[in-house]
Amino acid sequence: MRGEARIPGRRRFEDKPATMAELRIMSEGLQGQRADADCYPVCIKNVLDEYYGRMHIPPDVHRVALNQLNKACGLQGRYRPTSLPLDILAAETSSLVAPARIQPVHREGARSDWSRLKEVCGDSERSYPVVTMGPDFFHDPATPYRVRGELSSWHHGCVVLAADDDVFLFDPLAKRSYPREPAKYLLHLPRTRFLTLWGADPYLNELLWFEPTEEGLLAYEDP
Amino acid sequence: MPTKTLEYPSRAALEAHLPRDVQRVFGNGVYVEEWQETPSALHARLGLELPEIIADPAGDEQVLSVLHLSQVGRLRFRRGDRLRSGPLDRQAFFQAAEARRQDLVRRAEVTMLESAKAEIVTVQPIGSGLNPIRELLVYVHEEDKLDLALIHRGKQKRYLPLLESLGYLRRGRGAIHPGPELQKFVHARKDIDRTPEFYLALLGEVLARGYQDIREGLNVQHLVPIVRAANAYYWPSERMGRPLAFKAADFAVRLRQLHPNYRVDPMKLRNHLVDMAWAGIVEKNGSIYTATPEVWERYTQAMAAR
Repeated sequence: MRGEARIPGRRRFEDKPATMAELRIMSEGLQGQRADADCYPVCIKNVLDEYYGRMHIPPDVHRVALNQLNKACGLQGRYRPTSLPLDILAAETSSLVAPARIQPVHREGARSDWSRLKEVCGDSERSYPVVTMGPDFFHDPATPYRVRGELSSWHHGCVVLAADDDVFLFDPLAKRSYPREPAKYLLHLPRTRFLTLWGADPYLNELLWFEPTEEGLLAYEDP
Repeated sequence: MPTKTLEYPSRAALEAHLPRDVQRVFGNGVYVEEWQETPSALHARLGLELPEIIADPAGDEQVLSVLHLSQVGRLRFRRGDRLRSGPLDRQAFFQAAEARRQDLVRRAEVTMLESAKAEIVTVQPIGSGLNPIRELLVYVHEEDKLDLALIHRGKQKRYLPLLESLGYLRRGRGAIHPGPELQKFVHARKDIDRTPEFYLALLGEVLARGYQDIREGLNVQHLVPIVRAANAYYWPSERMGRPLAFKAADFAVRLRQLHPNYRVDPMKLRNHLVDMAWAGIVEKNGSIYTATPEVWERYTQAMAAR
């Protein structure tokens, strides 16, 4: 089932899953966090695994391992309290995905908005986007969290699986906490609510996705 | 290794961009805690916010508990045409963060000891280890004076400076006399003076006040592991907002989280847990450990007052 969700068809640039049932099946195959702070590397690992599968990148092309991503965002050593933000991780990931002829694209502020997010989500040539949610995300009733203590500076990485009238988000921390309860880690947020939480200052609509390089586009072109 | 520096054209730009930039340099959750000004520079004190999932091993309830580490770092921006920071060192920042976290763990352990001191001193190996302290206190309190010539046991000699520095005993004219703290304690606990409960309570107080010295300089067997194990249970419970139900393995997991360099011996841990249950530090029902209501009450009140 998991394999089917990742590679739904046998041609390149297969469409992304669109129905709720498909999203649910796909999210069941995504990884949850291993630690409290590794949301960004886990999100990137998830979108890359799905993207490599969907693009039929040959198995001999080096896959990116989670520990490489952890290293790239500074989550090293025994005491690993916090990771570097998404833009730094995007730059560091560039060389890791180069053998697959894909590249990370990071946007924030004026260069990132709802229409861009929707475009990336619907584009089968691009990976699912990773977004940074503001600290209020954890207080939202749609999430399964009960917060004790003040949370004002901690941002959280999630994968957007669908963005239309509403947004469907995969939350890797909730997957770690509730691995057998898709309703808790596949979150459904109304568009307006999502935009409030996504655009929380100082991360202005931060967005990261992967797409083929020019060379890759030719190599992976649909026959 | 120190990396780059941060530079801003104006104070307004500094205040607007620094919150974002410190996260880019040091990581998620880092925030500007306070600004301080001197004639030559502007200082930004940095804190770190660490959310942690605390789960009840016996159920599916979880909370996201946030730990705030304050004064983890400080950036100094020299005044000039532009405001420029010194070199930024992520490794040093994390080392400071870990040191601050360890401080919080130590403070929680001291609170644990203060909240369960009456129970902890009844753990037999700890009570035996504290015998030299007890002997000194009992004799001086009952006789009002102890000739220095009577102190010949090595352990009594080692504990004497601690009791003097804490104010329970004082030295004068070749003898030891009750110190102001001992007199104060006697006054406060007149109702049970000279009873076994009185000496147990006195020992508990000495233990709580001298924990740091006893832990670091004076080797009392089982004291540190038992205080750590008790805190490994009560601290997450307090952060969760209710007593959790732990199995022995949950203690080991929490101990490793609180003390990454601490080697937990599973057999010794089991033994300590039995001692803790026997002394009333925790309650044991089959293989499940939970809080003792009195200790829970004292611990949560003390943590709230901190």
